[in-house]
Amino acid sequence: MNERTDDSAMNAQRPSAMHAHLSPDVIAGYFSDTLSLDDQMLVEEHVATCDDCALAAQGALAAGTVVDRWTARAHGQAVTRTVLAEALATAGARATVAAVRQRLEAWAERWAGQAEAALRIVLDAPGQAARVIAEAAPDLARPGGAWQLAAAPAPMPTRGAARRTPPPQPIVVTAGGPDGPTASIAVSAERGEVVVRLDDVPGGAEPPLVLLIPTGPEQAYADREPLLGTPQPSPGSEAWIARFTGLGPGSYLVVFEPLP
Amino acid sequence: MSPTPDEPPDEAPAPVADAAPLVDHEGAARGGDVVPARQLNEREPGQMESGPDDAAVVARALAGEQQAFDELRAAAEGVVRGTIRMQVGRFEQNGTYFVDHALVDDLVQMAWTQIWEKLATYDPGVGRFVHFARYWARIMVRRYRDTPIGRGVETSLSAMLGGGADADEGDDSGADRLDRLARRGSVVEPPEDPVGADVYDELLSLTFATASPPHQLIAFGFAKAAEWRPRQIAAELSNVPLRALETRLERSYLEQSDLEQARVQPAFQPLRNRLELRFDDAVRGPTTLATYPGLHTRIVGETTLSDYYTGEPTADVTQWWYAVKRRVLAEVQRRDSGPLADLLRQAQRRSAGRGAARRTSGQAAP
Repeated sequence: MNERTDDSAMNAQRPSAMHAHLSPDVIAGYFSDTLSLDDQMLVEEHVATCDDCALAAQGALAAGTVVDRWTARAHGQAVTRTVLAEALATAGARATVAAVRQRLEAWAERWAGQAEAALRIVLDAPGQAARVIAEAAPDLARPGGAWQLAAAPAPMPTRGAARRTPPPQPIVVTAGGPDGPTASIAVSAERGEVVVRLDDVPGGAEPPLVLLIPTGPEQAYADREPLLGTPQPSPGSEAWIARFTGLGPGSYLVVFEPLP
Repeated sequence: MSPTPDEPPDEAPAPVADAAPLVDHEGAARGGDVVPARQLNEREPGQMESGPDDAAVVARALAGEQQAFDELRAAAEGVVRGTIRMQVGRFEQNGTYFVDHALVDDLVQMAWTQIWEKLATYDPGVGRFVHFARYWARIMVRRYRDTPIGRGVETSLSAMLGGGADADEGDDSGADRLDRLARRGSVVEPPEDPVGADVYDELLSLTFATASPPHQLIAFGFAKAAEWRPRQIAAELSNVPLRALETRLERSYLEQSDLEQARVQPAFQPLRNRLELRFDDAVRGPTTLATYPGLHTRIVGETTLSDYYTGEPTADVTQWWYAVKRRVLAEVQRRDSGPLADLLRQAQRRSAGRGAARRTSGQAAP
């Protein structure tokens, strides 16, 4: 490429060698549209006969795709996926029931970093309301996931049909539809509690596992252990309940095992 | 124009002035022997005088003169083949990567079939024939990438191209065959390969440590942090001192990513440091220095984006975006370890799968 004699951009710093590979800068220029059309075609003419540069170019193309896809938001989402993958590994290693461990391993293997649905929760200091950001974690939802979490208008019963005394108003988020299982998540900062209720789980089917993962930098490292919720049948109803209690202020992710 | 899925720029950039050297001075790092390159001053790519001359040859080809089409093909073959080889066809065997020549040959043949079918639409007023041929080569690459096998799904190409229910689909073109591949719904799509957090961590650090001028980095940063378009950057940030913009950029990145400060802020330190320098100490590129003689003694952090405009602001910001991307891509290619290097190796492994799938399918060139 170095013998071209015109005064195009590619002429700069052209060495006297007669034979050469394309430099990383030239290949980068090709894939970042900073070469003139004529120079792009000169690159193509070279690559038409140079296997080494063809291979290098395809690597640069892959890198260019990553650079294009990169945003601060994508960066944050990637970190969250990593947090979920690590939490699955930790929970799987600690699970004492073989069947649960196998399900966690299968989740990690097939959907590492993704879930049926995910919810971000911020529990503020006692006395303040819980903040639930329901729309903040769709990037964690697996492709084709059935659940889309959305805020619900009223608190849900978590023990049978009703409570004797009205609880502090939790924030409730629900997902699911008329033809499949549904999930409701009630978050109470007052009680430091997150309650997950699953309804309409088909008979004989296992309800999805639920992981609660501390994510905030304000939480002490020791408090960052993921908590595994294995839903249990709720007395007096057909619902399944997973309850996380004693939670301190901080940020959390609630994620659901992908449905079969 | 870009073969990659670019999003931010509002318009195509002009070539960047601080040109890249043509030859890989670290050629040994690419492993090997120096490959003879064509002496490029022998002729321009696809040389056939001019558009009107091209039109005459095209007219002869359309009239059925085989020699005329051969002339067209000879003029544009290198560009067509190179366009395809820049983007497609690589496989690994025993830890070494090779070009999948059979795949490239197939795609080149399909491209020429398509060029022949579209030849009557060639307009010399739009460009030379080689540009027309290159355009269709790019279309062919894009169509191939839209097929399951082009996306890396392991399936038998011969089973999809030949025999079976489609055996009687007639003597259709290569493009039709690729279109048909793309329509097939029988292959289960894998989830898109997500980019790992460590890759973005490295990309963030690498980008703001490159030699790109600070004003270019800040404009690029707002495209990445706040997902702003060049037009918005030019409209809203042009008169804010770069030091204030850098602070705002970091804050925006933290807000949008929801990441911890400790993970993000160290990456911006090299940029912060350069903002406190005089322009002629902070900027190394001779072209950039020559472009802004009036800024040499200024502290970079006290300048504004508007101090760097040489033309229409949105176009300038767009050009800066591409210039930063070019430097980042060049730096990524030079890395031989770390998450980005690993990611490229993974991409190579996926390409290897495609090559292997084709070879085991026994697919021959049409």
